[in-house]
Amino acid sequence: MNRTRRICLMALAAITIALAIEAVPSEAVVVPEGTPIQLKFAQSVSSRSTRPGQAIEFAVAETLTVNGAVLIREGDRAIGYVVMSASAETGGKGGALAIEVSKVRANKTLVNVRGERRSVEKREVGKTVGLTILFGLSGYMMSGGKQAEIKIDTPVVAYVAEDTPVVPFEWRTPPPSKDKAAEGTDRPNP
Amino acid sequence: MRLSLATFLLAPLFGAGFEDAAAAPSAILIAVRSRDHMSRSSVDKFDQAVDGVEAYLEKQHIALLRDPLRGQVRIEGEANRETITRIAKDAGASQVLELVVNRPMSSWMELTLRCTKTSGELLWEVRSAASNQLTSKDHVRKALENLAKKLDTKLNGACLVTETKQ
Repeated sequence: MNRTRRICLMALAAITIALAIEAVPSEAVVVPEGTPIQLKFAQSVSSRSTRPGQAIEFAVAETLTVNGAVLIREGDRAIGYVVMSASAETGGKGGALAIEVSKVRANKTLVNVRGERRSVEKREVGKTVGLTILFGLSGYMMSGGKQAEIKIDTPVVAYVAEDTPVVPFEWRTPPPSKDKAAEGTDRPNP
Repeated sequence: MRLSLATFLLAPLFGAGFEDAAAAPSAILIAVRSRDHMSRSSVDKFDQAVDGVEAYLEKQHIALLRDPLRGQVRIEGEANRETITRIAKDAGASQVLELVVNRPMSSWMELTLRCTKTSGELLWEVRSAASNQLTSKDHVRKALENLAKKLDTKLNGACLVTETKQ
């Protein structure tokens, strides 16, 4: 009696597991290499206190949609690291800061990104000169001051480092049929 | 929908396992270094303080979630409520144990540990300081000892649920 019950339960378990596996969407959409992702700093950063290797929090500023599939949502997380940091010195040398954006979290997939921010501030004969060197980043100007400072919500653009399949959160337009999908993916404007 | 159906159907089969799942960790520890600490103290002291709190929580078998991106979360810089909430939700937490390491003018170190819901609602807060000493010697240890005494009274409450022994 117990044995029969156990077999029935195991069969039921197998069926339910199969149903659960089927429920996981398998239609991943590729985020093409070079796709820009609008990010913003989710924490402040100062050359006064940072150290190389320190993790920096970013947040996605704009939802990324590829072919109608929502792959990365506004508010999703991204992570970067301090590559170089030098505090301002009393002799007049300004603080310097270089941060590299590393990964964006897209529906449990980690998308490798690239884009390096480097800001250098120089102090010259009696006046402060702000100098910003940007690598793959846009829309940012250094404010005056001795230390290199980045405030929360400062915008940053990162670029997808390699073609990465991501399971969409949702479809804004109906997903393309398999025949059409096989023809190729539209590349978003850089 | 189907997943929840599967969960419902499988529950009687693995009843004991689901009971354990109910006692699974629901809080995440997020350590924040204040602006004053950054300007008046060193990063080593910040690390020592956070290490000390983590060691206390581990010793008490407090079940905590880990951040899927970073493991341990240590933010050196200002972070707003939105950022804290985002990290907590990403880890699947419903409660946040936020540790703020500060260096006010009045003490060598001030530790504030607050337990909040991810909505930001404060559940409790304890504060500890190493202030009544002339030199900074052992100030991290003293602040940690004071904090531990206060936390002892909070054990098995919100954010400090101990792991069920197998």
